[in-house]
Amino acid sequence: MRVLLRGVDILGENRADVLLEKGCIVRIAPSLSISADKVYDLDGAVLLPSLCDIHTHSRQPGSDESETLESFSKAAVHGGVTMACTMPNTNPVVDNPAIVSYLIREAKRIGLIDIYPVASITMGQEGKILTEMAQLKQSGAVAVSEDGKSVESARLMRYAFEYAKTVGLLVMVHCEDPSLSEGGVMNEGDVSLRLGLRGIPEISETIGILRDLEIATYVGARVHICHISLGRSVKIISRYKRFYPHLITCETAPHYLIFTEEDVEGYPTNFKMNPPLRREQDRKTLLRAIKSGKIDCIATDHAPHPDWEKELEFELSPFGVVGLETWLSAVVHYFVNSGQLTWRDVKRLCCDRPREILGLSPIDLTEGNIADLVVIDPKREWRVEAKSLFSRGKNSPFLGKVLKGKVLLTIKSGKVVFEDV
Amino acid sequence: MSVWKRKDLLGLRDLSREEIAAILETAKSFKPLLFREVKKVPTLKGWTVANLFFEPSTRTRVSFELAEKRLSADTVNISSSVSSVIKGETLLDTAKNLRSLVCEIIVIRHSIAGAPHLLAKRLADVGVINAGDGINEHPTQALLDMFSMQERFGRIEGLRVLIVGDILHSRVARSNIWGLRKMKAEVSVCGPLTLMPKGIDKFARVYTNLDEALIDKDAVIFLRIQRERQNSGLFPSLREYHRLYGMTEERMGRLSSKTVIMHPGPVNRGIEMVPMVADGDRSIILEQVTNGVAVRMAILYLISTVVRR
Amino acid sequence: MGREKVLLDENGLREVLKKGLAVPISRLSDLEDVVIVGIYTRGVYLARRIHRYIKRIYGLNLPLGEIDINLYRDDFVRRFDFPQVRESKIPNIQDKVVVLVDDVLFTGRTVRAALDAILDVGRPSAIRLAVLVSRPGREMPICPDIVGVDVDPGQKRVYVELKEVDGQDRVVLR
Repeated sequence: MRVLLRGVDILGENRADVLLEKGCIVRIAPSLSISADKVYDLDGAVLLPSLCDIHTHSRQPGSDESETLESFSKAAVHGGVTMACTMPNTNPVVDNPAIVSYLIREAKRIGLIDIYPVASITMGQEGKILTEMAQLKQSGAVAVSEDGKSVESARLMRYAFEYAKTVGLLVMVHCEDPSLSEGGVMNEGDVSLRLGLRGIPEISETIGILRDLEIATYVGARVHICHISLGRSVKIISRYKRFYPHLITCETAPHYLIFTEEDVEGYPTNFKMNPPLRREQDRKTLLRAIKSGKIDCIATDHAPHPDWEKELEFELSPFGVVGLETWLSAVVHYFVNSGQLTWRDVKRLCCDRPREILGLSPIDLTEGNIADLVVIDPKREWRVEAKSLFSRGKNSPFLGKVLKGKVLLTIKSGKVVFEDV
Repeated sequence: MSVWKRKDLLGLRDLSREEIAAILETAKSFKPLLFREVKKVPTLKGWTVANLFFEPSTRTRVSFELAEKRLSADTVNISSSVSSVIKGETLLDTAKNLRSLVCEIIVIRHSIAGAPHLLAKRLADVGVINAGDGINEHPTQALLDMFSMQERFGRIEGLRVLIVGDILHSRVARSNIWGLRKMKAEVSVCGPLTLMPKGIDKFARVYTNLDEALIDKDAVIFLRIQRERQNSGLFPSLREYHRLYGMTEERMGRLSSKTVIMHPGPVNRGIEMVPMVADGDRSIILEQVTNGVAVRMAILYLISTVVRR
Repeated sequence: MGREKVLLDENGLREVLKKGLAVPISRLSDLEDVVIVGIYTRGVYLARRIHRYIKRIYGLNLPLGEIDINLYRDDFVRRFDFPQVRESKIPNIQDKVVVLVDDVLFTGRTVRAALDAILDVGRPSAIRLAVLVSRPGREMPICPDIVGVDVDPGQKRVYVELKEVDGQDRVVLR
């Protein structure tokens, strides 16, 4: 199957025609007049490698009302994502090899994306017994994480790092001190005071990060810090990174770069997540940090919930928002179109670094490389509405907003898995 | 034309000074009705008001019920516990049911902040009155507190008001702070740091010493301390709390003769204040209760001018 | 919108007030224990003027009251326009004759509400109605006892303007 992409702007830098065959990029030239099975006239839309989301919740196994692997896959390719790491806080928890194999196999069967499951650190995420990490790795898990919560016992966390290091698995940490965050539903600060909501103090996140960084560096194990939301977290992580450059990586999510605690005014549950949205100064610091590389990558923390769970009082509504489908569009709308980030920054933050963190090589847009690609039109506008989303979860903070930047094509191994040309 | 254009009363935080003044003015006209022989007026005849109380409350509910009945409205009382949500009926379901039963105004008390706002947004043709949502606001209490102060002192502007107690968990404190500041009173708060919300110093003067705080104040509002707080490590014992933050006979002796003592009720005698203070001549606690009905009548009336039937 | 026609100018209004309302009311008070109660808004100012005149000419200081009938209205449309509730001040009316004073008697709904309001306040021996202008269009079986002037405005409406409220005294058709 030959696919010809005409007139794409490679990384926003030079216009060319690109020919894909047998799963690879076979030719790139200013103009190609070759016949192909599928030809797309893209008129200057930008070509990037496809995105790799290292932090998502597929809600599988078990929670069909929130998301199925099929709706998850469709949502992913709608957003230009062809690789996703799925977190294990499902019911049942992903703590045994059979579930890991199932996720990988089923994703392959659906044929749109590759799923790289993350298994849990403890059995059932109960915080008591470590999972059989060697077997989990063998069946395809790429990392372990207790995401959704954190391992309370420092001693057990130490064992987790030591054992994961032994077996060769990355530990992805969700940093939170539950005794400090308990009962909180948004950032503790001026806005929570104004709205009469219980707050989650900053120190819950920073203390969590300090603990896990101390343990990981003491043990000499690799650690990836999930969804950082504070300027202070960037500072702490940077300090440790200076001394342990090869052990530590971290991510932030699009919503922390775009929204703040002020957006919780009016109690909208689509702005309730954990960690919570913070202050404007945190947002600015995070933005500077992704530009400079202090934060390695962006990951969505895609967390679908059925609407009956989100149509509740703020306190009762579960944490989490979806993000796969709006990720690239939002980054383009808010940062590339405004000149704050370049296309190469986007490639680094959304395509290359996530793959590197998982031990895979980044995808270069040169002849001979694998054709895992996304074409995005930075000028095309689309309105984010429940009916325009493929995910079963419609809990997006962008609902009702118009984003300028639309994914036109998503290609995996040379095959078109999504098109909206 | 009219100052009042809202179909709901969700809190004092968003009200303008003029809107608060309009409520207090209207309450003034309603108060005499409470003392005449025929205490009813036919203003809300044919209207149905539902009192949706998810948290137990006798005082506030009875006060609202009386206000509604004095306006000739039909009242429906629903006490539910939040656990009905677990049973499967959400807040929105309950409210939609009420609307289908043709109820035009809902008075709601809920343990979760923002619950009245959710209702107000979803029920476009029902007036929603917040009778207390979590630790967010209790606007009718603050309004009756301000009405009582205005009655006593003839004004609110420039009054020096002190609020004592568990400010962190008190919706009464918050509504009073927002309202009093709008009306240009000087607000102070007093309590232990564990019960003081971070950032409150932007809105009120913070004292941790009650004796210092009581100097030169016109009105002092004592908040109810909930016994459960003692168990959560926020302060060591009720005994110590009373010693540091309770209104004792001795402190009364040092208090200026013009200062009034207030409390949203019910008073934990011996903890927030000793009985002789609650029953003494400086206390306007019972006046607050009477004024509560007048203020609630005023609010129901104003809301009824906006809700279309 | 047609031109407006002035039925009574300042002098005319004063004359009607005196001869048509104040004098009959004072005569009534010779026979009965009278309490004058004006209906907000303009009825109150008319009542005050009547009270002042009677006091000056006849030396009688009749009890004077004011009543706000917003809480007793049966027409919600009017309520949206005038939601302000003022305190009614009504002296003792037990076993007395209440003379309600209003500017224009049209549908009669205002007076019906005033009757309810008065009866909720106390037990008068009788209630009489005195209006400056009476015009056709009753929707209630209400008859005035004392009328300043009868007008049939046809398709137009009658407006009483008073210095205290509108800056000038006159009765116009619009």
